[in-house]
Amino acid sequence: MTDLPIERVLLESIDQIERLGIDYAVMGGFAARAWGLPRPTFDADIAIAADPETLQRLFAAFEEAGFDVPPEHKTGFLDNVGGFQKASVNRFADQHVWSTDLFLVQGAFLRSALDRARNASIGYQQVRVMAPEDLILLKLIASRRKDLADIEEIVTICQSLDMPYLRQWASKLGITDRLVQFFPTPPPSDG
Amino acid sequence: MLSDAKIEAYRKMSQPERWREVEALMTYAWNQLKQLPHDEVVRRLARDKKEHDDADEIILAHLRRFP
Repeated sequence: MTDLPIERVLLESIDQIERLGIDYAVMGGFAARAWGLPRPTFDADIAIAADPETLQRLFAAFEEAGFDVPPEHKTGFLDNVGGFQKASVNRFADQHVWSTDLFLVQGAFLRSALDRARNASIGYQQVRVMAPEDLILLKLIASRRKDLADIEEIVTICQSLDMPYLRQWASKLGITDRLVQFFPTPPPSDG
Repeated sequence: MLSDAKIEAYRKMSQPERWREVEALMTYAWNQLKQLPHDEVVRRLARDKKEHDDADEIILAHLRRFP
């Protein structure tokens, strides 16, 4: 077991999700580290596909495992972030409170990203992690300096990216102009 | 900044081997951070979390516009 509290909290969160057979994908900083270069991250983000009933079972499982679940979540109220639903569960470890943010999958893009999640090692476990292409698209949307650096690193390490998928979703998400900064479109061939 | 040779060596590692490198660096960073006064650690983690939450808001609001 890792000594890193945030990694421990992430893996314990995944244990609960997997026990209930919920589809999930690690996203955010941990996913970026899985496909890019080493850099510290203290954010545990997981996309999950769960209906309200399953979500309540998940909260109960989290509580049983020693997590703190905000009381409003247990009555069905989730946080609203940009029109999407998010829940946060907390765990005290190493003298600090660590959160796992759970994003409820809605919309075609996140569903596609969940379907395309791949197995990757985090700690000594194989877990489902958002594929590099989907992570690149999310980071293109955020476009902070650190997101752009993450994209550079993912592109450096992942030699074979699914370019048609990237271009298709960049177009659907209205971020083709951002994508071409990293992957200029090849010129049409003569004749 | 990593040298090209180091990046090439990292690229050739298996994904589990790479994760051990990630873990080593993250453990080092966490051990360094823990040496600061508790309030300062809390402040830095909160700042990091706030930046992260702000990025989530941007991403999800964008996805909402392109369902």
